Amino acid sequence: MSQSSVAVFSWPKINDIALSVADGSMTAVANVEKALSLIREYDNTYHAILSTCEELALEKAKKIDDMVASGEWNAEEYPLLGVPFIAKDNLLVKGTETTAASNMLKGFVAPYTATAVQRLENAGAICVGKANLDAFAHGGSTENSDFGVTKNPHDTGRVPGGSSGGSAAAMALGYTPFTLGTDTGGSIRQPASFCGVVGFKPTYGRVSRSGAVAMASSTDVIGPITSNTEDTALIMSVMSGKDELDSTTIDSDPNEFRNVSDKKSVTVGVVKELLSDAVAPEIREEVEAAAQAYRDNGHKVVEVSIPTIDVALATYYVLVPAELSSNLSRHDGQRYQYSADDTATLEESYEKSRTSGFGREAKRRIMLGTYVLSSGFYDAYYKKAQKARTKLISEFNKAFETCDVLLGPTTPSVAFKIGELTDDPIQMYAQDIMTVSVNLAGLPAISMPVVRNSSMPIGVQIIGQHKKDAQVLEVASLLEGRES
Amino acid sequence: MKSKITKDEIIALAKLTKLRLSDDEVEQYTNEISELLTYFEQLDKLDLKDVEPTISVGATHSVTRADEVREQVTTPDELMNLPPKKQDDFVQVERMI
Repeated sequence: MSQSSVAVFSWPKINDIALSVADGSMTAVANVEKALSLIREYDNTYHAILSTCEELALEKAKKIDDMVASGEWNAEEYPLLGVPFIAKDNLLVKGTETTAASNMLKGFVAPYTATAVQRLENAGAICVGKANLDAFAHGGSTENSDFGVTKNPHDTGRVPGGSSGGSAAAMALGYTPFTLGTDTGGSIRQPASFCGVVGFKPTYGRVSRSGAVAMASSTDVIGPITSNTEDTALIMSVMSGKDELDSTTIDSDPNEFRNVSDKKSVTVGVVKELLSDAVAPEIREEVEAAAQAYRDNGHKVVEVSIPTIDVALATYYVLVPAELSSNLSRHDGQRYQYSADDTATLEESYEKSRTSGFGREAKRRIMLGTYVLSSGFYDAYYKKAQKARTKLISEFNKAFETCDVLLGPTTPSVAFKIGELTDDPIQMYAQDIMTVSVNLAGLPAISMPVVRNSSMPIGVQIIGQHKKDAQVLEVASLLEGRES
Repeated sequence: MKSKITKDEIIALAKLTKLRLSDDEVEQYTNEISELLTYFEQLDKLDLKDVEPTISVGATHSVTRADEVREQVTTPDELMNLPPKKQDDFVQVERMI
């Protein structure tokens, strides 16, 4: 892996930024101003950012600088001291507009802050802006954003991926040292792959979902997008852990992410079903190159089969619309700012608000989800998909009896052209074919970038065992520093 | 190919989900959702006999805590900033009947 060539600014590693703010050689205010000036200067071209929170961010930065100057503080409590970041705009940051890139939430100012963001800010990090996404995180290209598509920094005629496309593009450009995304079916890993950055999807429940605009509650997870695994580990060490505001969160050892550089010998399983003919040859080659890199470093590489991966996409697109049709019912024009004008009855207000507030993709998914949950079809679709999910999980478990981690591509192709797939939902959904099975099983996984000269980046995916997030980062770190 | 879902079913779904569709949209969603339902038929080839459904992959036990007043995530005033229409301390909606 080489440093992304499209970066407009190269930040030091996050730990080094925090240290330089701590020793006074850099200030939090200067870091925040730098990030904001990069966004101002470059984002007209890329449209990765929906809004900045300049005043709030500078106020928080000033507080940090004052605290450092006072000398009355404990460095151990602030591993992210003065580090600016950008959050996907489906994460609540108190006092900032949070739209989920949908007209439905236009004007909605978050009344509280997402737990994940709060933990980062408690550790000294500062949110400076909100990144574009497909509206309500439905999509793989940001083309479903109600506020315009984000351009891929490697080729502005192409999509950045999605749904966390703004976060991935912002990271590739180097606006901030890290960004946050959410991953329901690949929404961190696929755009990270398209933009040539490191995208990590934690184990389900590792990071609290409190304050994330809900999509599919049984697979949604928040994760970091960075330029290297060391930064990913640092962010995860701060962000993860049990939260009483999300009862699905799991216990975490805070030290787990501290020593991810241990290089123990592992068995890497190359997943046969992830290397089908649907995958572009150049991407298969990069997966093979990664496998070879592991062999060269003394690790064992074997082939494994997880047959139900072949129907994981169908399983996912039954379960996720079902869950989101329920989650999006709260957007009724009465609660969150947006409401249609000129309505005479409550029923009319519901209908007009939802009809004008939701885009085409959300409507399709809401109706599909309602259909598969309806009494006549529940067993034929929803329950069947839930059973397929069980089968998939048991096959992953079996693979992990012989393998420590699994290896495959992140996407079947490199970033596609803007407009190329918008009229074909199944082709667009097929973008998620390499990533959804990981969400259905709740596993941790990372997309590691292969940035190439004069062609679009490729992502190699490493999938780990339930709760073994640190091991994924450890194994992934071996792919860093290679030249393609 | 026979459509997996009828236009009337799409119209009924729109009513259930409180969405209004134009005739073109009814046509479009009938085609798209029908295609997706056809795509889902691949699940039929799985042997799912004796397989239990999975509902969640996170912590699934009930969480309880003592019933004590604690610091609130949001104040009532902050929450009252959210609704589009309000009067005094009440959320205002259109008439229901």
